[in-house]
Amino acid sequence: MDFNTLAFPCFFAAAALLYYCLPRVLRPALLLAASYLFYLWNPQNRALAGVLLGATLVTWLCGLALGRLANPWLRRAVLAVGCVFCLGGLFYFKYYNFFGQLLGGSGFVALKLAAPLGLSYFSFQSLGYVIDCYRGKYPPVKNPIHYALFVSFFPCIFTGPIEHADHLIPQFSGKGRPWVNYDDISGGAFRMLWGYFKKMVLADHLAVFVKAYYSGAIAAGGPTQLLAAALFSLQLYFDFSGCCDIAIGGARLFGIRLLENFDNPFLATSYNDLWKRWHKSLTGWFREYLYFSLGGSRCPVWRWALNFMAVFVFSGLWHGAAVEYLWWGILCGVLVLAERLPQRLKKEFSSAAGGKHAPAAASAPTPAKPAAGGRQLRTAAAHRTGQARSHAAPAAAKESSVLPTIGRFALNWLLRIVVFLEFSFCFIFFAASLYQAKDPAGCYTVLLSGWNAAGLLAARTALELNGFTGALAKVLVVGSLAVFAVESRGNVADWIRRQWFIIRWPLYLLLAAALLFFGVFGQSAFIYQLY
Amino acid sequence: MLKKIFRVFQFLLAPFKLALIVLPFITLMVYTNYRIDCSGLFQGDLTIRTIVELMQADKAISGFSQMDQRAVNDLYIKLMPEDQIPDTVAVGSSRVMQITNQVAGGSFYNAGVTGSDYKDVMNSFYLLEKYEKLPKRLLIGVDPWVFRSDAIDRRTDLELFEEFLSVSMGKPSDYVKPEPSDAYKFWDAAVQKYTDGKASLTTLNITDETLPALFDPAYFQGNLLHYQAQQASDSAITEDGQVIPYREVAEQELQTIDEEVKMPDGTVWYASSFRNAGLDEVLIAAMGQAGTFLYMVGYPQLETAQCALFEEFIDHVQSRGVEVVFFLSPYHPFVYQHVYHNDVADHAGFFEVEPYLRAYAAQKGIPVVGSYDPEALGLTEEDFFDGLHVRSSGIEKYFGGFDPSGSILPGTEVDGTAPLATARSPLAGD
Repeated sequence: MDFNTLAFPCFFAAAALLYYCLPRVLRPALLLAASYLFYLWNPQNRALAGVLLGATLVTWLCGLALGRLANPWLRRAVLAVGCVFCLGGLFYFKYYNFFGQLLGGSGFVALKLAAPLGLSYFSFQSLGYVIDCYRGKYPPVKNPIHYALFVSFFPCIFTGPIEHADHLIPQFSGKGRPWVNYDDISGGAFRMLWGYFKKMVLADHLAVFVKAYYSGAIAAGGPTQLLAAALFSLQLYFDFSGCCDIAIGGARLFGIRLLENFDNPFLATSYNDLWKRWHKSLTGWFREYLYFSLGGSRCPVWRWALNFMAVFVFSGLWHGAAVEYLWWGILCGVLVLAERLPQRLKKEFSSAAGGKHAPAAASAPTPAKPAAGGRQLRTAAAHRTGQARSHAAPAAAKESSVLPTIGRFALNWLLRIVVFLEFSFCFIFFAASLYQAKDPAGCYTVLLSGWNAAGLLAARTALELNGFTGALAKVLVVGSLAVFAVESRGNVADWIRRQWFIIRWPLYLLLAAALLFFGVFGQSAFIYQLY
Repeated sequence: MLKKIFRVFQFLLAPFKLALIVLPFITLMVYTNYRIDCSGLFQGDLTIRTIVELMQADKAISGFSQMDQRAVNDLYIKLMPEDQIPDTVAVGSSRVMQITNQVAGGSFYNAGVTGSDYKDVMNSFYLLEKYEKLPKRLLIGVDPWVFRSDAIDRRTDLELFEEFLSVSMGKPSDYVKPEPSDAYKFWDAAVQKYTDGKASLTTLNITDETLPALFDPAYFQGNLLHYQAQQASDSAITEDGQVIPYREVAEQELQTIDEEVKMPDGTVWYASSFRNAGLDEVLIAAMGQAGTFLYMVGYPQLETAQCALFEEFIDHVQSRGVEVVFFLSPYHPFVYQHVYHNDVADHAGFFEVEPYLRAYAAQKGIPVVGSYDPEALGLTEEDFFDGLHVRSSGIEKYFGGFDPSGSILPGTEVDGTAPLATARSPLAGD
């Protein structure tokens, strides 16, 4: 069942109604049943339900075993079982054919494999749990229903956010929460509506042009390519963050807070900063379980750089088994490294001169995570830090306090534009792979051609021919700006609850009307559902 | 405590607030999808709907030869207002389609279709029955090929015929009555309850298959786009934005227009070149038609199974309280002469039809108007458009229409009541 089908709101309403009719103790069981119903709704998943069940059972047993065992070798063996099971399934379904063709050449016989939806998400989520148990960050979960629900919780099973057991599972019991919280219901419902608006009104209309361009229906040229790349960045943001809004809003309707996945990424003033704000749950996962495992930044510069690159390379491959994703990961890694390396080298030299130790966790590619035991506090802390970051002046501006206010403002926006273009430039590989462009590398060379009046006119004509005219064009521009403006104020669900009735209700109606009049229905799945 | 009560109150109020946001949009969507209906799911195909709307507005429409006449009939009968059900409905082929409102008199609709076979005749009646628009009287244009089982027009709605056999006649057929889904039953019950049984989904032309389209936002957007495009266009347009090729024909244009026109009473007004053809041209056409003798070549004897089916059909019509009148449309004198004198054995069945029909009609007390033999009706070559189609003026010679009491009036050329004459038959001496 997709979020953007008519079946989902009906299913969701029924689940929510039942949820609030049941005593707290039975609610996790209901959510588990609803999650499996949601998962098995898709015929493709029915045949592969064993993968989800297997991942749940094996990692739960691994967690229990790790909680009891003291022998380090036995603990390592259990960890290995968990890793092999989670990564093995992921490798078999997603990468077997890719690596087979890459290494086996023409003699390789590809298998017809259809991966279960959400495989990348629940595999990482359950693997993270096993690693946390191995590290002793928290005691293993004994309640099988709570654990199974953690792995399969339906709002986030297909597209994340990738959760942490110590953050999500304590919320299932509902302890410390009122029986019903109207703010959660109202705010959650609004956030879902907000997500639908971003996905079905903004992203799906932007996709028309982007898809037409990369599939070759629009003549290639520098301005058109740049436009396609920029619009793809916006499309991807609205699509993925819209999906996360629906997931987070849906979970909030049940009184459960999920991790935030985005923090105004296009307000970042450096490329590194952008990656701290984009798909935070995945980058956080890689940072915690890969980057730190490889040694993080507590190592020589060359190894630190390699660790850094490893995160981006694996992140690229996580998105899809294709060479373009690999190149995309490398390109992003190189750009971030190019930004970070001078700082690191400067610190190395200064520490060598002053005899100080190089900074460790603070130089990780993503923001430092709050202490593991924080649980509920972590969300609040994350929100706080997120909001603080949104409102705080960017680092570059802080440093240049000599500049007058207007100059700082202009510089920040200039930096944001540069970062946005940088991001769009990298995502050309991503878009080319997603829409199966014939010559992904050629898209980059095209960028340099056709910069004349005819090329600009062609870009404009292509835009108009793909629906960017009349009322729709206005809705897209105003809608996009409104989304960025509102999201820069912090959590949307909290923001709407702070508004007056006379602002709230027209906004509800406006969003609902925009969905009905301009929404794209039943035509495309969420992009990140593919991964 | 108060806080708790307030919290519960807020929670209970939430669904109503949600309904307040959602319901106006759902209502707008359902209304638009039903009323504009650019794919013709509820109101009928846009092209057909345009024709029917013009007919209902008493307008003549161009492009008759391109029309799906069966679909037009279906929708026309479906949308016919209860208080405008005609007293008399004519069914049959193009050979009855010159029986106009003026000829028949009273309230009349001609449901004839070009190339009508026996299945079409029965289908036309079934539409009247299915949509509960039964007239007082059914004027059946009985062409001789009605008694030929293999004389089937490619345009005939075979599925509808199977449905007729199964639903109306209770005969075994391939038709399987669809079982409505639970959703359909639920909404049907709701509509009936809301309207005190005066309306149902069926009367609103909503089927089990089309019901989801009412709640389809994509269909809503399509309807809005169609509405916008229609407002910007001078002509009626299809769902794809193509101009519908049927237009209103003014009364003064009828005499000169050189294409076939569908008249509001269901009849056809032929193209001026066809209407004004000279006797020689008519004769040439008749000679051609005599040679092929539509559907009747290779018909050595009357099919008894077809006669039985026909009789069952007539019994069924009468059982529904509808009076039956047989109408035999004459052939051009040359055609009749030709088949009378040439190769009779090959189409001997043709000459058995009229005697059989008259005998059956006499037995059942059914009036018979006309004859296949033009001589028996006193018609000459001037009364024909071609070998098969008689002019309205020719019809008026032997059929004066119905008086207000329903009695058949005599024609202008003959004295007495129908039937007036018996056809000549080369088989008479056998």
